[in-house]
Amino acid sequence: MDFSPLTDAMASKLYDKIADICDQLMLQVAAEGVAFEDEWPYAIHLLGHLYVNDSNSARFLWKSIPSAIKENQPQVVAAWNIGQRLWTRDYAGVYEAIRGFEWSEEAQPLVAAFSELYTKRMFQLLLSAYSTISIQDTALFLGMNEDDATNYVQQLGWLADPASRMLTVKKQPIVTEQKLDPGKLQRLTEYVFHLEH
Amino acid sequence: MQSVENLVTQIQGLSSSASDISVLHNLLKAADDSLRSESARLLPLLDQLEPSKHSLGYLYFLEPCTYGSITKERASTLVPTIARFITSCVAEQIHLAPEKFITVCKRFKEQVMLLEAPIRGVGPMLTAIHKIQASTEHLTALHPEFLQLCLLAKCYKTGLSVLEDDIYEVNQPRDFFLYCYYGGMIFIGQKRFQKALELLHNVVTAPMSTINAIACEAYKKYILVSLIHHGQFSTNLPKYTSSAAQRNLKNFCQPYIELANSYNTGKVTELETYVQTNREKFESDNNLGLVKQVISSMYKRNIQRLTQTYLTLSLQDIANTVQLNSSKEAEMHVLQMIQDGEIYATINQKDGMVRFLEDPEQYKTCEMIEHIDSSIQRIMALSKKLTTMDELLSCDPLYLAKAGRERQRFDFDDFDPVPQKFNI
Amino acid sequence: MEAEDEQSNAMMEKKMEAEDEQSNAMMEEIYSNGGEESVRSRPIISGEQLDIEAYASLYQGRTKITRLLFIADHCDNVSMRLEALRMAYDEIKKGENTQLFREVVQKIDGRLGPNYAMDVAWCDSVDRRAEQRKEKLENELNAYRTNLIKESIRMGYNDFGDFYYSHGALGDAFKSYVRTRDYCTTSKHIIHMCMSAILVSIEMGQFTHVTSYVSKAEQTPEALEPVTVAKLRCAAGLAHLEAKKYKLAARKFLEVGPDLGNSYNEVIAPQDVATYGGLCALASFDRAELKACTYSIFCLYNCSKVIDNVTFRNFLELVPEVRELINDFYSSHYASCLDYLGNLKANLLLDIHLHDHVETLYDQIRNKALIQYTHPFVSVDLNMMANAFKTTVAGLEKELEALITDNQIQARIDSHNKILYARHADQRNATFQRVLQTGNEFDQDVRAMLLRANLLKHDYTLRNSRKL
Repeated sequence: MDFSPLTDAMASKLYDKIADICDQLMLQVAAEGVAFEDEWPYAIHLLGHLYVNDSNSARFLWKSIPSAIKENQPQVVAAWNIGQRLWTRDYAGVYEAIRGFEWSEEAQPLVAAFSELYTKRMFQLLLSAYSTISIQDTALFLGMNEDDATNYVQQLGWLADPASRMLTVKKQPIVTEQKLDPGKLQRLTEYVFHLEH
Repeated sequence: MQSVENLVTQIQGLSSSASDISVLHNLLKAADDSLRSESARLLPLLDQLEPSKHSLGYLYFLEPCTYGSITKERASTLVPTIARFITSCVAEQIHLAPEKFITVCKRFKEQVMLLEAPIRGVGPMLTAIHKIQASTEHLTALHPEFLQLCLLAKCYKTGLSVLEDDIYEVNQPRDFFLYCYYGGMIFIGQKRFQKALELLHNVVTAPMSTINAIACEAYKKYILVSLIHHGQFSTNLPKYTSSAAQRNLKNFCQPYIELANSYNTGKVTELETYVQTNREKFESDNNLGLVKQVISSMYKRNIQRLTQTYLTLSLQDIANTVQLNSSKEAEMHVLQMIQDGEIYATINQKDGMVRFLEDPEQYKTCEMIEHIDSSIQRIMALSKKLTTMDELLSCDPLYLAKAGRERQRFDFDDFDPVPQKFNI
Repeated sequence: MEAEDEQSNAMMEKKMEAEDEQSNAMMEEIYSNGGEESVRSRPIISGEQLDIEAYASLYQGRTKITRLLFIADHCDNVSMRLEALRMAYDEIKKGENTQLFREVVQKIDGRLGPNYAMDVAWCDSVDRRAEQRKEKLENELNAYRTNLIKESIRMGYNDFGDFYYSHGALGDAFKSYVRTRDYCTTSKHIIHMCMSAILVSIEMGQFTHVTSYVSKAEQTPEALEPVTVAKLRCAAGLAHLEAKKYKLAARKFLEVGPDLGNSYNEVIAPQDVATYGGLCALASFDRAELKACTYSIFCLYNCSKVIDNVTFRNFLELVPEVRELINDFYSSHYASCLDYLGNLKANLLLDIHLHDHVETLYDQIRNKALIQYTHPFVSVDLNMMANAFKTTVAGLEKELEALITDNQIQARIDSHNKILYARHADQRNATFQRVLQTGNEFDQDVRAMLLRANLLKHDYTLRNSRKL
């Protein structure tokens, strides 16, 4: 089987494309009738789905893996472990799953990239959902110990109250550019024309 | 009557230009019966033909091979052959014999299922659909087969690519029913409940003279998805639903309607008890997963209702009102709803309070204007389509004949028949 | 007449001005509404027992008896019950209804001594006389019918109606009265028939008949006497009350006016008109209408004081209470208003027409009070509001939640700080949202429709090509 598109993507760190590449390759190979299951990089495939936050597809992929593979390849099981925590929204458990396994050389950069992405995503969630949050919970959500977590958020403008062990969230105003396009006038004319006829 | 070997030579010779192809086509049509009678000998002869160049001929030779009962060994040789054919054949040549192509593909799917490897059929089927479709608006007989393979192989994402196209032309009602039903299931799997509802709604309200099983199953899922997505369900079917459906659907789906009634009371414990008692029924319909989603959606519904009355509310009060066990659970529920965009709120852990916010969308950004623009354009295109269809229909002779027969007669002139043809 | 109108208009204007000044002063007092005890100029009813004798003397005829029996059935106090039964017994014996007599004797059950026991002799003699009278009436009626004298036939049926009514056969009475319709020659006759039909229907509790005969009476071409007009309005009001149409009932009762006097006390007393009208108005009117109605109640109060000269302690005091209730409500003294209502409740529950509606009316009045309290404010402190309504903050939150969910108050509760904030929907955003949603629905519907049309076309083509 020709895994070159996959290896190329991994090498150039285009992790968000991995899921699609794997899907397509899988269909191709299956159509040719090759028995691919034993050689297939299921762990990478699963992680690819998780990277783009598609836990649905990851779940379906897991269901289609033959049980023999599930028993013989612990890395696949470990990758699904992460997916399962994501699916059940066990926010802190994701980090445990990431750290609780010795990843292969191939999978290591992907897992590291995913971990970083996940932390950023969690931070965004905390930013939008909380006005005050305990240091303990922040540490759990961000997968760091309490001191690291406090430093991390303080650098981004949050205020810490060591007495009550609480953090006050600072929202960052999002500024997007607003451009006006003269082409809109043409479109408005079209609309009026359509309504009149 | 040519022998099969002769035919092979003809195919090899006459497959280069369009005029040659039409000659070849007539030859092949004439030889159809002999091909069928010699179907056993055809398979090895296929090796002499190139699917990419001699697609039409290959097709005529391939189709009789797929007849009769197929064993697993035969299937394992046939399947890769057909897959290769589908991938490399030329669309224009195929269009000359569409029914044969469709038959081949359907047999292909059956064989793939026989080999218990549905994933092998997904790629080729997708290619087949793209090649045989007259346009993306046409529904082919292959669509439901493809979707079924996707469901079995758990390739939901691939199925989505086909479902994104809007269908306007349908040849066979049965294809349509299955397409919508399987399509609905794929959307449910991907949690795109709005689109799932649309497709399931189409099945339930499609014109049908008698009730069929697909409509029943679709209605059951429709009730469940309706509860998950909208939090409510009404047994009133729209006016344009066929009378067969209106009369009979409810009788077949009684436990689901009662589930909906239980949901409307707003009490989680009642709902859970009802589900427990009727567990086997839901399980045998393969709907237990959906039913569980219905239960969890009820918590969401109850929390959303709170946003209408309260500006701030303590987590403990939320837990009490919605019947959760602790304020921590309530916090997790609210957090998940914020993550999914189902609610706008901020949690204040220090005071144990949640502050409900208004939708921050101000409808002032460029993106929003783009969104509105594209919606308007889409709708304009739709209305143009509607007008075109109306005009076409008014000129259709069958329609005119029927309208002519059934129109009201007020005047002597009205008793003249509507002209069917214009003889000038 | 015009001078009087001018006078009354002037009076009304002065009254309204006075009330406006009052209410301005009251607005400032709202915050201190529940905090301090404001001085009261009249005594608060402490739920004193109903004076049954006084109450009963307001009525005559069958309604007196039915009201007394109703009180006896629904009263908790044994002595009051026996008092009512005793009076009922006496009243029944003055009439000719042996059925009711038997009923009351059974209820008394010998508790009032030998004078209030079964009097078989009386029953027998009444029944005998009834038989004789009935025979006589029948003979007369037959004679009139053979002679075809319209007026006599009409009077004959009328007499039958009266006879059946006094003997308690209400259904037969109704039928007899209605039969006079074919023999009525003047509008006076028709009015008489309608009034009799209405009376029997009210006693039977069949208020649909009441409504139809009221409209029949109002449709006569000749102008009606003001007393009749007042009576018809009372009857209409009662019908609306029964049908739970409180706003319409209030309007009818308030239109009754002083012409009624005591002339309809075989059905209703002027105090009742004031009470029913006042309560229904409180439960269903908005502020403007409420202001106008205080004047009507004032008139009614005046007339009843003039006409009745025996001291009817509770009821006379009841009518000015209704007026004060409305005043309190209008000037936002909700605590005292609801207090009064609470005190009046026991006696109101003993009223035959009001009994089934007291709870609903009270709930509506309380909800109205809550809504009006919050209406002028951008934010309301729930602690103060709870004080004003003599309830707990938690209970108040629940009540407000129900009203908000029902869309009667546009506000949201800040449960953390216990404040209610008025909420004004953002029209612009709401419009955009609706527009996008309508667009989506159109999209979906049209596509589905095109598909269905396509299916039908294919099906039709298939069927027809088979025929061809």
